[in-house]
Amino acid sequence: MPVLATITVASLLFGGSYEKASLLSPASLQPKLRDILDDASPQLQATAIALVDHLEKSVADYNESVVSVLGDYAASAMRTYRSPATMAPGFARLDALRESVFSEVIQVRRQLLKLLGPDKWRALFDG
Amino acid sequence: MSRGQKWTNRPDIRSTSKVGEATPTRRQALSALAAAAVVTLLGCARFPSGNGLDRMVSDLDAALAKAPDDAAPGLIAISHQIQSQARALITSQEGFSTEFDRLSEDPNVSDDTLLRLVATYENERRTKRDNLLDLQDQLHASVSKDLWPDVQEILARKARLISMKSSLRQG
Repeated sequence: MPVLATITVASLLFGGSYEKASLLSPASLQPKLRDILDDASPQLQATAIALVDHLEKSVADYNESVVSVLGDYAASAMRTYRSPATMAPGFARLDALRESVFSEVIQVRRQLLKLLGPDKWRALFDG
Repeated sequence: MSRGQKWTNRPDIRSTSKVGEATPTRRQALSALAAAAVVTLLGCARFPSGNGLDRMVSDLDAALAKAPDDAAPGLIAISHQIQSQARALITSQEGFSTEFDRLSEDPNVSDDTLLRLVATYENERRTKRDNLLDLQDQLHASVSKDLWPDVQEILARKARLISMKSSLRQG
C-alpha cells in the first residue's frame, strides 16, 4: 500500500495513533522524495518537498489532536469510568479536522501526481 | 434518537451481575473483557492481520463462556457484537484504502470523485465507531463497579500491547 495513504488513513482513524504519531515526522517521506528527485530541477525539488512537508504537518497536527482528546479521556477514565458520550465534543472536533486533512491529502497527492508523473509518484508512495 | 440519548438511556444491567472475587477464572474473563474494550476504544486501529482479532475474540468467547454468573450470556452477546463491528471497521478501512489509492493515481478521476469516496467512507466509519462506543458502555454496565478499576488496569496494559502490534513500524 502506498506509504502516505497508509500513514494518512491509519493516522486519521481514531485510536492506535499514539504509536503512529512518530511516523509522521517531517522526515518520514522527505529522504525518499529527495532520492526520487535527485536529477530533477531545484525548482521542482523545492515545490515537491514543500507539498509533502505541508501534508505531513497537517497529518501530524491531526494526530496530536487525537492524542490530546483520547489522552484526556484515558487519563480521567483511569480514575473513574466516563461514558464515551462525554467525548462527543472531542470527536466532533476530530471529525471536522479529519475532513479538512483528507481534502488536503487529496489535493496534495494530485498536485504531486502532476508534478512528478505517475512513475515517480508511485515510487514515492509505494511502500 | 441522538447519539447522546442512546448512550445515556442504556439500561444498567449491573444489578443482574454477580461478578465477585477475582479468581483466576474471573481474572481471565476480565482480561478478555478488557481486550474487547480496547478494541472498542481503538475502533479503527489497523491490526497486522485478521488472525490477531480472531484469536482475541476466540479467547474472549472462551473466557466468557466459563464465567460462573448470570451475566455471562449478556457479556458474550456484547462480545459478538463487538467482534462484528470491529471486523466491519477493519474490512471497510482496508477496502477504502485500496480504492482511495487506486483512484488517487488515476489522473482521469476528479477530486470530487475522491471527496465523495471519502465522505461515504467517513459516514460509515462514524456509524461503526459510535456503535462500538455504545457497546463499550454496555460492557462497562455488565461488570461490577468494584471491579472496574481492575478492568481499567488490564485495559491499559492491553491497549499498549495492541497499539504496539498495530504500529506501522512493525511493517
